[in-house]
Amino acid sequence: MSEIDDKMRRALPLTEATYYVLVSLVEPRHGYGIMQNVAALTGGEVRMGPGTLYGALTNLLKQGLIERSGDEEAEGERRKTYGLTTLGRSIVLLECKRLETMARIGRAAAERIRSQENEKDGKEETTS
Amino acid sequence: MKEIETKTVIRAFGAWNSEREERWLGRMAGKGWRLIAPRGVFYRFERAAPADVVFRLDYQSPKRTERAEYLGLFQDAGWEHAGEFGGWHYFRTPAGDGPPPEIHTDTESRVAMYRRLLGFMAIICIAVWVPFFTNLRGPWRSGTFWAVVRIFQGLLLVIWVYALIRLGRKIRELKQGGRRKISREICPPLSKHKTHMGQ
Repeated sequence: MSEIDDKMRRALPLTEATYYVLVSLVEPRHGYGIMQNVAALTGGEVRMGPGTLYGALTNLLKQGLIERSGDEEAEGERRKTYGLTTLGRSIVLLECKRLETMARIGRAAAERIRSQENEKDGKEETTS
Repeated sequence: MKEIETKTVIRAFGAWNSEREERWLGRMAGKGWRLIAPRGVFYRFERAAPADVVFRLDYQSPKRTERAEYLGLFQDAGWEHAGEFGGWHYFRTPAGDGPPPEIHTDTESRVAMYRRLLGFMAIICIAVWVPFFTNLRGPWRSGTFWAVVRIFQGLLLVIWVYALIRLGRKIRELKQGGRRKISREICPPLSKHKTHMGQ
């Protein structure tokens, strides 16, 4: 159990690339499928280059967060399908929780900044 | 059938300076010289129609069983494998109108690439060049011939260590540059920020 905790700690926080790869692999996909999915999820804003993707896949395989699914016999096949491992699923859940907390705190701060800016504008208008 | 004209150009680029190599290969393609085989400092080209292409280099050694998959990823993303040498893979793609296409789209993977290279070069330095140089110390190998050999070996070692230092600096710059770039994008001045939100 502690070994798994240790693995989790080492994997977090995820980089943007590994994060998008992991959330894409909620459904099994091959490499090109991941690239397409990331572009679709972000409305084309995030484009993942093949060099970055290959690096991310290699790292995630090494960390045991993803695995090659399907036919292992088909060695050397051009498109291999990947899926999340149990550890990978836990990591996605953990990371999601962390990001939600951060986003909630960030939203509160953004609200505060906006109201401060509005106050300032209001004062400027009354003085001019 | 008419034979296609080919030529070999000798040109050296620092391992820390692959962007310069990429730009040069792009210019060669623009002049109608299509890269067919990169072999270290020897670049073999063939005559072709001038093409507006972008070259990108990746330093990666996929296992034999993963090779097809590695190359397949690039192919799917629209990159043609133009050749490889010593772990460097040369990819090219049509330039297009927008910003130049990239194979590495984050700082992390670029840093990881140069770290792999640095690791490999450091091992070679410790395992090959240092013993290679120091083994020749000894009174039994005197004379002009061995002096010249030692000078060459010393030179090789110096160049290698210089490359290691430059690579280390490159990695540091990439890390700092990446951070600078992000802070510029994420933290625009507040006034600008407001107009964005108004849209």
